[in-house]
Amino acid sequence: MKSITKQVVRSVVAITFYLLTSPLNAQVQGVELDKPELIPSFTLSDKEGTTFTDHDLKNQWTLLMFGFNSCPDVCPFTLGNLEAAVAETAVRVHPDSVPKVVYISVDPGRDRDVVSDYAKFFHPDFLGVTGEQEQIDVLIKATDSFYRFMPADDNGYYEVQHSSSVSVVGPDGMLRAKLQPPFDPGKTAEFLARQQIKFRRKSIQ
Amino acid sequence: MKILLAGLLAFYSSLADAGDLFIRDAYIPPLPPVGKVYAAYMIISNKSERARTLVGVRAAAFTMAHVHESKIIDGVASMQSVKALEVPAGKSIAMMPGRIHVMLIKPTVDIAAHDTVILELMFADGEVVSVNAELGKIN
Repeated sequence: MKSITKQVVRSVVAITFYLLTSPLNAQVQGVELDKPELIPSFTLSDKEGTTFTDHDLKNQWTLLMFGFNSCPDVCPFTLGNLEAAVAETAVRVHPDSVPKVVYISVDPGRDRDVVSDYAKFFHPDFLGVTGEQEQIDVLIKATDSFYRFMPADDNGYYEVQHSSSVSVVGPDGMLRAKLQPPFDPGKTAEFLARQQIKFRRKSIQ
Repeated sequence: MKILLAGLLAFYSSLADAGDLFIRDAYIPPLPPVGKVYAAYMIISNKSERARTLVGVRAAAFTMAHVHESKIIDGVASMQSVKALEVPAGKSIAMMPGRIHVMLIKPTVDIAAHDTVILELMFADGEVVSVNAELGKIN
């Protein structure tokens, strides 16, 4: 009887240890791609006409977020959380490796002139861009993302449904991971720091 | 005396005590000046022994006010209109980012951080409860 009790205790301990240490549990804030994908050529811009292209993805870590300025809840919440997550990441990584947050409005019709100001409100280093719909679509496809314009209501307001995840692009311009809501600052920072360590180890092999 | 009464009135209105319905922690997170669509959050408590249903919100400072629920389905964020939000007897409903919120579209007046926006919550039984939501607050 005693040996059965011991076995049960051992099993419980083993299961608990597995749950606490499994990669699934450790990576709830992000999903690493099995195979990194190259982001193809694209050109977006801010209101001053400063371009943001695939070349700007090189030699830095970039977090790409899709949204629209008339989004009352999810977009401001995500941008606020990303600000906190990047601040946490900055504690863990070299200053050159602090990710650049790029907010891409999928609603250029309403946001073209204000997208930069909108993003900078959440952090002065955040970049806000938009562009021709076909150029936005290049990034949407490359990151396996999605958006859809909903019909306007009587007041002309329309919602744009969009992917909630944030794409993580490495300094080689490759899509390497996706961050998932709720973007807990500490866990997201841990995930990003781990991604950077993995990337460096692979780079020197 | 008048000042004292006004002070007391302001204090009580911020708690929005309307009999059995208590509304607290109402706030509107900050948005950039170019932002035109806001969200308000609050906690609605129903101390009565019957369910109460929120059926609409009025906000004089905005063109429109709607109760919405954000949902993420298969990785896609979308919003759904909430026509009737039931607050069960003796329970509370918390509006919060990423969940249920009051969407406020296009301010009709100049609003700035720390301004107080009056929201009127309309319930199915005809009761209207006013609450002051502070703009620019982060919970």
